[in-house]
Parts: sequence; structure tokens; C-alpha cells
Amino acid sequence: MIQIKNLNKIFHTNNQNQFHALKDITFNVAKNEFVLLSGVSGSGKSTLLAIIASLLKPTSGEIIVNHKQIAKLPDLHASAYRNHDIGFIFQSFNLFDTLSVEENVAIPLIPTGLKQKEIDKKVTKALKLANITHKATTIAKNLSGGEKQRCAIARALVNDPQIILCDEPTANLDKENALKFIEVIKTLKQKGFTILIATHDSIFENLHEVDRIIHINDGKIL
Amino acid sequence: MKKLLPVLTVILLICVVVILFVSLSKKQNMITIQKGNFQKQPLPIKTGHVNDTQCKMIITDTTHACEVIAPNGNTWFFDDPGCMILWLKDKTFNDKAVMWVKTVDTKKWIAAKKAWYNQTDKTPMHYGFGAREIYKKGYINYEQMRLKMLRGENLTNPRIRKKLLGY
Amino acid sequence: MDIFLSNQVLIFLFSESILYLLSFIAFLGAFSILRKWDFSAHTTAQYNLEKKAFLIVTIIFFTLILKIILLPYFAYTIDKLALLIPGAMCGAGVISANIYGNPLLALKIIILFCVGIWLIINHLDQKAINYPYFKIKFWFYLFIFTLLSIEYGLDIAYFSNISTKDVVQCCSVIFGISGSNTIAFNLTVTMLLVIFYVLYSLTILLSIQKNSLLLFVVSLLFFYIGYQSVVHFFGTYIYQLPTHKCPFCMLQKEYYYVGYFVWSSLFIGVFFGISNFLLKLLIHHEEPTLYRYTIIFNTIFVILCSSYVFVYYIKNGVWL
Repeated sequence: MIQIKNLNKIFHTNNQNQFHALKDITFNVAKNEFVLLSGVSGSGKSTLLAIIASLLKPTSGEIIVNHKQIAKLPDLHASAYRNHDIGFIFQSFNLFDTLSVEENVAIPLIPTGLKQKEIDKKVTKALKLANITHKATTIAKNLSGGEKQRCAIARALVNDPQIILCDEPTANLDKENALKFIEVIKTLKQKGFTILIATHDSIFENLHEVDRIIHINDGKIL
Repeated sequence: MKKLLPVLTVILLICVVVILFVSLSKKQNMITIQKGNFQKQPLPIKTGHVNDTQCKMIITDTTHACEVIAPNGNTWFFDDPGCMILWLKDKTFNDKAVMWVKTVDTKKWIAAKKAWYNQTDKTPMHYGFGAREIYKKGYINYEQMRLKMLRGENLTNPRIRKKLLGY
Repeated sequence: MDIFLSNQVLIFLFSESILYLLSFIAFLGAFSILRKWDFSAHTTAQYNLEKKAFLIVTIIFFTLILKIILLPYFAYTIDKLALLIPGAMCGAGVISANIYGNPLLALKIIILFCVGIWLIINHLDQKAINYPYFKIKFWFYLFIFTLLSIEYGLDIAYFSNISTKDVVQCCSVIFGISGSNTIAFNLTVTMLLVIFYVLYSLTILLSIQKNSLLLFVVSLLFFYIGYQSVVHFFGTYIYQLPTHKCPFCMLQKEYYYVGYFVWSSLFIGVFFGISNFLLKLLIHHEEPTLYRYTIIFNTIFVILCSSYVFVYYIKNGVWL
């Protein structure tokens, strides 16, 4: 499903301050695999996730997702890939504070051109999967940290992506909410999603649902 | 319907081709230059069939017509003495060319250099120079007409028009 | 040089200069990209080229879109210059003020068509996942840039050589009865109209049948005959004067600027008519929607022209 070959990412390439964030990363992720990208802050985990999500372009190397060369996608196709193929859960949630939960979740459906009935159906399904149906009409700024995280999960799931990418999903959560988040992730794993989580939270390392842990240090796989 | 479209297309294409060919076959060739006039005499001008070489207009009125015959017998036609002067300006044979003008008063073809020129005629290109055989006060000779034409001192110049015609 | 005192000329030449500079920058970029482009490579150099290509294509797109807008402004400019040049009543006299005018106008129209083709190829290239027409698009741009360079030179030469003292011919001389501009192929007005409507019908039939080659030929012929028909027949109904035959006067305010609509509908209809054949030639690909646009714009053009005739007849009870 995901193939990464000799991936490099250098920030400020023509500068004296250039920073080599990823060094010759090579690994594959199979369908329905739950992979943990483990490493300390600044090791390159978030950069790698951003490249997989086509939010950043690599400096060199190949990245193939579902037989598509992600780094070479034209703008239109990159946007479609981000919209349909992946669901991204950010560390800081990135919700629209003035919109309700169901409005936030419906946002990825706007470019699809679906009718309102279809949109409502998909939003309801995503809210149920993320276990936040009871807060559908609540304005996002009035949600707790855990609820915001689940709203972000629902938004990531609404377009039926095959891959879920999570960047430090429990960094802003207390232990109780972190465990609730893990329960949701377990459900997603059972439903056949491919999951990549970048985290330095040790709470994930003992989960038996995790198929593989990839340790990254200083931009390299250990 | 689908079978009808190609048939209709072919019919219309044939129509277009036929109309174009029929029209082209009726085409009257415009004369701009006549060759072989070794006798250097003025040639008859068939109105509607001859082009003024300088301004490219079809000569429809021969009242102010002129002709220039080169030493090799090539003859060019003009509807206005001003056009003739402008055309001759940069020709290498302008000293040796034979020039004929149609006179307004006697309606004869005479040598351009022997004619007199009124400055306020209504000529096709509005330059104002009309040829005359018989001199009257106010007429200028060929050389004066030529210089005035080359200096732009003709009726197309608003100052000259105001001076000669008052408006 | 007096002509440079005209605001419209200054705006036009300034705009042309900026666009030429941008297109020159894009030309240099395009040249360097074409030399090293290898889409299958995953090296730093190739990724940098892809980023650069995105920028260059954006510059080219912006420049060429503005070139399309500048053409009607050019028509507007030469129409305004008619007030400054003795003998000229409209753009017809201004365009023939020196030897550069007519070739310049013809070149601008050719460039317009080339720009349209480039925009379609670019759109198709960016829609596809692996930039299949990338190289041909850039090579075609290099060709367009050559034309733009000639056009820029002609623009300067044309405007610098317009004299405000020499008398030019007005449209009644150029296009009128005593003018040398007779109807093409020695057609009578009736036959011209017959051919006009027959060619229009042919463009519809060929568009429905999606025959790009024949449509290309017929569209070019329709362009020429359409121009002749407007000048020698439909224009007289726009001006409501049987002797007024001019393609430029209808661009003026007195005629509600209808000339812009007439000529733009003809240009666009013909452009879509010829585009599929050219696309097949360049990128071996056809766009079926273009056939529909041919029908739409040619129909707008024919209805617009014919309506003047019928409205005149309905109002006055006679033909001109």
C-alpha cells in the first residue's frame, strides 16, 4: 500500500542553515497494517507523515501510495489524493472553532460535489465511528480535548479513506482521553484501515494491535 | 439520421466547391500594367477594369486620368495627376518616362509636361490638380505642380485648402 | 512620434512590454527545463525542475491570458487613434497607416489561436496524472514566444511609424465600391450569403460527426467568408447604409460596440472548429466538448449578424 524508497528531505537546501530532516528512509506498509513511527521530538516523524500526506515534497527519493507516485502528483491530483485516499489527524486538531462538530466533519465533503442528503449520511456515519454523535451540534471551541480529538478523527474518516495518518495524536490529551482515543483506533484497525501513527508516547508500544514499530532517530530508521 | 448526416455533408461540400469554381471562372482580371507599348502612345482605359498603380483604386472615371510609359514600353495608369507624381518620385526612369494626362477642358491626351494645372479641381484622390490644355490665369505648369505635390501643398493639406478654397 | 502622446498607445505598449518581459523570463525557464526534464527520475534536480516548471507554467498561463485581453484593447486603441490621423474615420485607416499595420493585425490573430491551443494543451496536461504533454507544451510555447517577439517588434515599428501628418485612406476607399477590396472569389453578394450559410451548416454537421480534419478546412473557409459577409453585407445593416462597408466602424460607441461581439464570436467559433485537428496533430488527442463550443459560438455569430438584417426588414419593410 505504501512504499518509500531512499526518501530524503532537506529544509533550506541552498542555505547555510540547511537541515537534513530525513536521511535515506526506506520501508513499506501493507494494507491494514498498524505501524507506529516512534522517536523523540525532532527525529523526523512528523516530516515523514507530512510527505506521505503530500503536504510536503521530498528532496529526493520515491514514495508510492496505492500505485501513485505521490511526490510527483500534479496539484489537482495531490488535492484529490489528500481528500479521498488519506485521513489526517493533527496534533493540534486544526478544527474550525466557530463551527459545530458536524460542520467541521462535513468540510472535506465540500469539494466532492455531493448532495446534502449524502453529506448528512456520511457525516452521521463518521460521527458514529468516532463515538461523538452526542456532540454533533456543539461548537468546536466548547469541546474538551478528547472530544476535539474525536471530532478530528470523524473528519479524517468522513471521505472513507484507506489510510489514517496521526501525528502525535495524544500529545494534548490526558491519560483518560488518550485511552479513549486508542479504543477508537483499535476499532478502525478492526474495520480494515491502514494506520500510521507518529508518536513518542509509550502508551502505544504495548498495544498488541500494533503490527510494527519503526524507530526513527535523527532522520534515519534504526 | 446518422446515415443522413454524411450524405448532407457531401452535398453541401459539393455546393460550396461548385459555387466557388463558377464565381472564379467569371473573374475579371484587373489591369495594373500594360506591356509592349513601344509607340509610347496613351492607351485607352476601360473603366472598372484598370487599377491606379499608386492608390490601388479601380479607375471608374477618366476625367483626370494619367499614364506613364517607361522606356521599355511598360505602361502604368493613374486616376489622379497627384498619384502619378507620387508614384514617379522614386523611379529610376522618371527622367526618361513619357507621361500623358487627360485634359479637363479639351478632353484630349497631351504630354504631362506641356499641360497646365488648375489647383482646385475635384480629383479622385482629392489632391486638386486637374490638367488643362489652354492656359488661364492661376494655372501652374507641370514642374510647379510636381513640386507642390511632393511638398504636400495640395488640397489634402487643410492650410492649402483654406487658402485656395476658403474652407 | 506624436502618436506616443496618446494615452491608449502608451497603456498598450507598456502592457505589451511587461507581458513580453514575463514571456521572456518564461522562455528562459522553459528552455532550461526542457534540456534536463526527466519525469521518471526521483532526484533532487528533477524535483527542483518540477517546482520550477509549476512556476514557469503559471507565468506563461498568466501572460497568455492577458494577451487574449490585449487584442480587443489593441482594436480599441487603433479606433481611438482615428481621431488623430488625417483621413482616418475608424481603425481601418489607422491600420493601413503604414506597412506594418496589416501584418501586425494578422500576426496578433494567429498568436491568439496559438495561445488558445496552448491553453487547452496545458489544461489537459495538468488534468492528467503524469504530465503526458509536458514537453510538447513547452516546445509549443517556444514557438509562440518566437511569434511574440516578432509581434513586439512589429508593435514598436507600427506605432513609431504612424504619422499624424500623412493622410490615410478611410474605410469607404478601402472597402467601398471604388475600393480595390472586392468580394473574395469574385462572388456576388447573393452567392456570398449562400456560401456563408452553407458553410455555417457544414460546421454544424461536421461538429456533430466529429470530423476534425474537414471541420478544420471548413472553419478556415468560414472564417474568411464570414469576414467577407460581415464587411460586404451584414455590416451594411449594422450601419444601415448600403455603401458603408467596414469591419472596424462597428467597434465604435455609435454602434454599441457590437463589433467586439461579432468578431469575438466568429474568432471563438472558428478557433474551436480548428482546435481538435491541431490537438490531434500535436498531442494525438481530441476533446469532444470543443465540437459543442464550435456549434454554440458559430450559431451566436450567425444569429447576431442575421438579426440585424431581419430587424431592419421588420422595422422598415424593405431590404437595404
